[in-house]
Amino acid sequence: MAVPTPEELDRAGAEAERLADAIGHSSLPLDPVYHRLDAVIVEMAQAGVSAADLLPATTESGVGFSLRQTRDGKTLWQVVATTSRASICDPQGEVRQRLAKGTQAGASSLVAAILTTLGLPLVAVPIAVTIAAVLLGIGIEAFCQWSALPANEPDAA
Amino acid sequence: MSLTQLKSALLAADFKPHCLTVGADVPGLSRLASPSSLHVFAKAWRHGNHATIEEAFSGDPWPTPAREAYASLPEEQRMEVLGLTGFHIHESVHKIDFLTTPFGAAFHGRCCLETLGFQECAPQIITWLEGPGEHPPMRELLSNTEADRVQDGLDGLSARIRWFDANRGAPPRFVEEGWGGDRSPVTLLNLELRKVTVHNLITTLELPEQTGTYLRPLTILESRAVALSLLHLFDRLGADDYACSEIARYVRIFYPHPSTSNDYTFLLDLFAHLGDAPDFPSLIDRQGPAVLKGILQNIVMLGWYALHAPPLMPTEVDSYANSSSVVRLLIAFKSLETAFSTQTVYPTAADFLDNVDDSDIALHADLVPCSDILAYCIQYLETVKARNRAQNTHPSLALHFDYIFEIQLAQLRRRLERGYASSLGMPNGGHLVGGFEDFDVDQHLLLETYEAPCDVQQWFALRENLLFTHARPQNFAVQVRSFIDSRPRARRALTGERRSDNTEPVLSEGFTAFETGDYKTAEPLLAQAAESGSALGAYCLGVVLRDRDERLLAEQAFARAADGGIAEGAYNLGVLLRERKDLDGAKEAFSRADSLGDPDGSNDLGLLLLQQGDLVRAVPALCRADARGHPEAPTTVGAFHAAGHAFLLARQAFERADARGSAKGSHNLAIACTAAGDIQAANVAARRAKQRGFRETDRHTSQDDITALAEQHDETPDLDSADFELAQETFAATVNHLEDRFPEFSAHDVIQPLCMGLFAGANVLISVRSASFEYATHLAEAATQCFADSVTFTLTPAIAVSRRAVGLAPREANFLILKDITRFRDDTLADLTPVLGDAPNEQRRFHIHGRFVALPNLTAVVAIKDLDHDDDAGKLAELAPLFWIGILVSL
Repeated sequence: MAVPTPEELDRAGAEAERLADAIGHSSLPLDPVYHRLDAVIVEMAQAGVSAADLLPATTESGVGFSLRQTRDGKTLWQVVATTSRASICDPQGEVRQRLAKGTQAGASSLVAAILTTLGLPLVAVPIAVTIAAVLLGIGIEAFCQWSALPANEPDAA
Repeated sequence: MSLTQLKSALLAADFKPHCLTVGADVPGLSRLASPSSLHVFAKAWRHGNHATIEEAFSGDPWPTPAREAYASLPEEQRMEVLGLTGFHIHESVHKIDFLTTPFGAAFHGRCCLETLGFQECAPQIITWLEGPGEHPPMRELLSNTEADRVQDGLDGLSARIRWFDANRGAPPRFVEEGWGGDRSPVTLLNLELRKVTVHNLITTLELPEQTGTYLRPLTILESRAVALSLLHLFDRLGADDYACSEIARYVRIFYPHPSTSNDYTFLLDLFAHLGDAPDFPSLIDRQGPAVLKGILQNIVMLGWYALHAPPLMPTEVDSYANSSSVVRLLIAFKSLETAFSTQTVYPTAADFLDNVDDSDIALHADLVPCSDILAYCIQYLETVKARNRAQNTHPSLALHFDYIFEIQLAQLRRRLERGYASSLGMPNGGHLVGGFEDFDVDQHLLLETYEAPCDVQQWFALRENLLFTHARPQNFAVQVRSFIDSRPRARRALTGERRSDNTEPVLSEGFTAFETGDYKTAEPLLAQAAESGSALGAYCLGVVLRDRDERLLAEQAFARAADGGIAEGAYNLGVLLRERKDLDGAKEAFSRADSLGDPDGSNDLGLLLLQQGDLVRAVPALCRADARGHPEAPTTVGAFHAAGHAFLLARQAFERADARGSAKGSHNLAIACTAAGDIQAANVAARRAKQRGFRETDRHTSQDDITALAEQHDETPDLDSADFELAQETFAATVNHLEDRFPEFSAHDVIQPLCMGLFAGANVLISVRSASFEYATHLAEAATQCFADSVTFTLTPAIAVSRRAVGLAPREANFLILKDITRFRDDTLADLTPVLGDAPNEQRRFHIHGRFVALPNLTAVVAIKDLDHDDDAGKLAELAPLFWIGILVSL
C-alpha cells in the first residue's frame, strides 16, 4: 500500500485541525464535515472515483427494505461513520492508542493511523481528514456513541 | 422510540443475498416501535405478541379490532405498524426470489464458480495482493475479453466479476451509451429512455433523474419486493379507499424522493407517468384501489418473467437476451403494452407470461420457453453442485453453497411441470407463503431458518472489498489467502519466500540439512543465519532447540522468528510459554500469531481466553481460527452455537469440523444428527469419528448406540413413528398438556428436538426470558418424562446454595435438570464439569467436599438459563462447550 509523504501528512493534519476547530465553533457540529465531504464528492467524481468505493465494506452489499443514495456530504458521512466505527472504536486499535497519547501525537499522526487502520488508499486522504477532525472535535467516545445509534441516518438529522 | 429510529434500523437491515442472511436482529426491530403500535399486532395475532407463520404471511385483512386500533393511532405510529409488517414481507420476497428462480440459480451458481475461480487463480491473486503498491478493486483490472462462455481461469473469473459488478451497479466509467452503436431511445409506457451497455456485457436503459444509474436486476428485485409488500399491506388494511390512502402515505414516508434509490420507485413511477401523475402515491391518491392493485400486480408479474433469466444456455442460437433479466423485463413490458392497446385480458398471470414467450418479439430475441429454462437450470445447478463438492477447498463455503443448491434444486424441480405458475412468486390473495406445500422443503425460504456461518459472512465481506472497494485493511492479503489458498501453511513457512539475500547461502545449506533431519549440521548454520537477521533461520533453529529440549533458547529463537513475521514462530513460542504456565506471555504470543493470520494461533488464543473466562474475545478468536480452516475450532464454535441457542449453526460448525478431519467434530456431528432425527447421517459421522480414533466412552452417543437405535427403530427413531409407541403416547400427551397450559407456545416444535437430543445423550441448554421461565421448566420436565421409567432430578439455585444439597440427587437419576443455572454458586458450577463432560458414566459425579456423589445412570443434563439474569462474570464460560444442543424459548 502506498504511504503518504510526511509533507502530505502534515498538510492533512493541518486541515484536520482547522476542520476540528470549525466543528467546535459550529452550532450544528457536523455541518462543517458535511460541507467538506460535499466538496470531496465533487473532487472525486472529477477524478472518476466514487467516494463510497474507497471505504472498507464490513459486510457484503445487500438488497434491502429501502436503500439510500450516497448523494451528498451528509449521506457520505453516515457511510463513513458506519463503516469505520468498528475499527476506530476498537479499544485495542491504533487510533485509540494514538488519541490516548493526547495532543503530542498530533493530527497528522492521527490521519496516518486512520489511513492504516481502515486500509484507505492515498486518494482517500480527504475522507481520513474528516474522520480525524471529528475525533479531535467531539472526542472518540462521543463519536463511538453517536455512530452506534440507529438514528444517525442523515434523513433523521 | 420514534418512527425515525425505526426507519433508520429498517434501512440498515438489508438482506444479504450471498449469505441468505438479514443484517439485523429481526425480532429486535419491534423494540423500536412504540407500545401502542405493538398493541395493533396484539389484536391481530392469536397469541398476542407472537405471530404464527400463517398469521405473518396471510393476505387476509387484519381482524376488525386490530384495524380499529390501527386507525385510532396517530400517523407516526400507524407507519411504524406498516413499516414493521412491510419490512418482513419485503425481505422474505428477496429470499424467495433468490431461491426459487432461474435468476437465483444463475446468481448463486456464478458465485460458486467465481469462488472456485479464486481458488484456481489463488497464486496469481495472492502474489498481486502481497506485491508492492496500491491494489485497486479487481473490477478495475478486468480485461475486455469476450469471456461470456469462458468457464475457468482468469478470463472466466473476470467475466463473472463483471456480471456481479453490473448487477450491483457499476460506476459510470463502465457504462457506455447505446447498444453496440445503436443509440436510438427505447420507449417504455410512453417514457423515452436512453440505451446503455454496462461492462460491455449487459444491455440496459439509463434511469431518469439519478445520474449514472441504470435499470438492473436489483431494480427488478426491489420493485417486486416493494410491490408485494404494498399489496400485502393493502390487503391487511381492508383493500379499500382508506387502505389506498395509507399505502400512499407509507410510500411517501419510506420511499421518499429523491433520497431513495431509483431501484425502488422507478417502475412504480413509470406506471404513474402513464396515468399523468408525478409519482405513484399521487396516482393512487387520485385513482384509488383498483389502479393500485392493478399496477402492483403488473410489476410483480413482469418482474417474475424477468427473473426467469437463466445462466447462459448452450443453445445453437445466441441466448444472450434470454439470460438477461433486463431484456426479459423489456420484452414483457412490450407485451403488456400490446395487451393494453388491444384490451386483451388473460385468465391468469401465468397465461400472460406464456403468451409473452410465444410473442414475435420474444421469438425474435431467441427467448427460450419456461419449461426449457427450468430444466436447464436444474442441470446447471447439478453440475455446479458437483464441482463445488469436488473442487471447493474451503469447507464452510463448500457447505454453504451446497445448502443453497439443495434448496434451489428442490424448488426448481417442483416448478418444472408448472412453468410460470407459482404461488410463491405470484401469490394468490397476497398470501406470500400460501404456496408452501412441503414444510420441510419450503421452510428454508423463511428468513429465520438460516444464518450463514461467521466465516462465510467474513468471506463475502472480504470479497466485497477485493472486487469493489479500494480499502485494504491490515492483514487483508492474509485474510484473503486463508479463504482461497489451500496450500499447507507450514510448508509455506519453510519455503524460501522470506529468505534475506545476505543469508541465502548459509541459510540454504542449513535449511537443507534441517529438512533432512541432520540437526547436527543444520544447527550452526541456522544459528549463523539467525544472527544475520534471517527469521526463517531463527524459526528452524527454534525447532532444533525445542526438539533437543533447550526450551529457553528455543523460546528466544521463536521470538526472533516472530519478530521477523513468521506466524509459526509466534505460535510455537506461545506453546512453550503455555507449557511453563506463563499464560500472559502465551496469550501475547498466540495473539501475535493470530494477527499474522495463523489459524493455530487464533485457536489457541481463543481457548486460552476461554479458560480465563473472557468470552468476548475468545469467541471472535475461535471464529477466526474456524474461518482460517483450523480443524478443531469449529467444534468449539459449534458448541457455542449449541449452547447459545442455534442448533442449526451448531450442526453446520460440526460439519465443518468433520470435513476437516476432526474426530471430535465427527463425534459431535453424530450427536447433532441424532438429535435432529437424521440417523443415517449420524451413523456415517459416528463411523468416521471411530475411524479417526475418537476414544469412545460410555456415553449414549457412541456409534454402537446410534446403530442400535437405528436398528431398533427402523433407521428413524422418530417420536411420531409407529415404532415408538410408548414414547409417542407419552409424547402426544405431553404436547397436549403443555399446549393447553401454555397456549402461547408451540410445544410441538420444541419438544421433539429436545427429546431426540436427550435420547442421544446430549446435554441441552434452554435459554429463556424470565416471563417464560415456568414454561421452560415444564418443557424440560415433560421431555424427560417421555422416556419410560426415567428418573429425573431437578436442582435449583436455592438448593445449590448449600453444596451438600446436591447429594440429594438419587443414584439412579437418568436426567438432571438445572434450573436458572447462572444463579448457581461458582463452586457448584465447578462441580458440574464432571457431570456434563465426556467422562464415562461411572465417573460422572459431583465432587463435594472430598465426597463423590456418583450418577452412573445419568443420560443427559438439561440446564435452563434465564436470559434476564446477567452472566457478566462469564460464569458459564467453561461449561458452555459441554452443552451440545441449545434451545431458545423466545416469547
